Amino acid sequence: MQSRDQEEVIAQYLTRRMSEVERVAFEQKISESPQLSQKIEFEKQIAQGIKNYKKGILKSRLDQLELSPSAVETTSIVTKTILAGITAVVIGGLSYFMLTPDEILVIENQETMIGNDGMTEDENAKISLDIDTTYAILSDKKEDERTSSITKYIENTRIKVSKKQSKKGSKSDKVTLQSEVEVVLPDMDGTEMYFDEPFDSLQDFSDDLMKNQAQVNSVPELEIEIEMKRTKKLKYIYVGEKLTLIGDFSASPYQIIEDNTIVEKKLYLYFEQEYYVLTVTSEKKALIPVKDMRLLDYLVDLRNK
Amino acid sequence: MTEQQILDHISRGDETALDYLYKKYYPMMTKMVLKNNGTVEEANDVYQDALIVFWQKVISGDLKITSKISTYLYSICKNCWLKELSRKKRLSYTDQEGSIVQSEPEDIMSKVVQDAMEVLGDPCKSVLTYYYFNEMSMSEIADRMNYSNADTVKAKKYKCKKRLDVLIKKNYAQEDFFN
Repeated sequence: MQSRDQEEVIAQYLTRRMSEVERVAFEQKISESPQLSQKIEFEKQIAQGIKNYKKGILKSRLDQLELSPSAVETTSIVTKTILAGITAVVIGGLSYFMLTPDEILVIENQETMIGNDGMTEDENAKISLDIDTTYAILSDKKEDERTSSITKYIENTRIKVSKKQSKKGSKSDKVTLQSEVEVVLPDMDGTEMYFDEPFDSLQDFSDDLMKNQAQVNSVPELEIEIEMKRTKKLKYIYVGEKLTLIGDFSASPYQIIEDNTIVEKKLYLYFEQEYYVLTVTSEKKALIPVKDMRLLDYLVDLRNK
Repeated sequence: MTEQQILDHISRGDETALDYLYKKYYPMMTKMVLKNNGTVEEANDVYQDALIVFWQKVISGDLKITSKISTYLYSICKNCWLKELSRKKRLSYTDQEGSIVQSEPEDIMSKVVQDAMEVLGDPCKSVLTYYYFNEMSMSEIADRMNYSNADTVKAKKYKCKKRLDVLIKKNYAQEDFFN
């Protein structure tokens, strides 16, 4: 074989330009010739060197790219952004169930604005009914700088709460119910270490997150109704922005977790140590606990923070 | 840009698609490393490596996309980071043993080749990287570099490779001597 031809054949072999038949025949030759084998080894290193050279150029190119501030801040903020956007947790308490079974509590129409100094009430908010609502204060005095980073993302978030009707047949016409609306901020120092296999739901979530990384849209108005039924079977209806929980929710508080960072909002329910995914349904649907371990981990992590 | 459009751009060797992807998935990919004991520098490095692996796979036609780009990238990133963690563990073990860490012959060679490529200059640099890194065909290289046909590229590539060999042999002998 001429030197030039051999060079060409070796290059073709190393860059996988040979057919299967050619490759097998050539490997047979290599195994029979230590000299050729040595030559291949040397050429392989050169080919790798050329690849590394190009790789270095591409890496320099990437290093010089200007990333948006939100992307750069990902090292400390991304987790927080996700959580700040994800969780508007509505906690329903036992006191809700002081109502008779056919009574309904609706959460709507009370506005709260979140500003740089934490959460302040919107003066124009309509508190339409007798509900004593308390708000979790967002600001973390120790971490003013971080808080302002967070509020940058959530400054337009509104949470609307009100009570629709008072207790029927109560001794007093006015019934004061204690309920709490809490916007859960992420743990600033969350450094939990774990590997999570890519799985569809998280991938979808992450992908969607990319589209919304710069800001969290306002939390849509969510109306929650409880239809009290003395049954172990829990059901729900979720249509429009109205969620109806059906069953006996009186044993312990429940939480509704809204994920608003993604294009299609996701809603989860936490009740009695179980998590449930709430999907849009206009008919009564059974609540089935989440079993996917990774999704559970994610939700537990989210809720704990 | 749709995923298919991104893949089309990559297949054509359009490096702006690399920039686009880098920016698009930066938070997601680096977060994975950061959440698993990595530093910002390591996160950047791993993500860049993963993205280049992905780029190479697409450009060489090795990758049949059946899932989202982010899913592939995430898997590659994870593998790269696991590999890096294992390398770090090995290094740390070697340090404890008090061994002198020596450069691998492959690393020396790679450095020699990279230096030689710089000396070589264009158009040889481009011809060789298109051939070895992008694994483009002679006709594709001819189109990209405005050569008349594939044979012209083949002859050019041969000459360039010969020049590179000379530079490598000269420098590798010196490196080998010093190491």
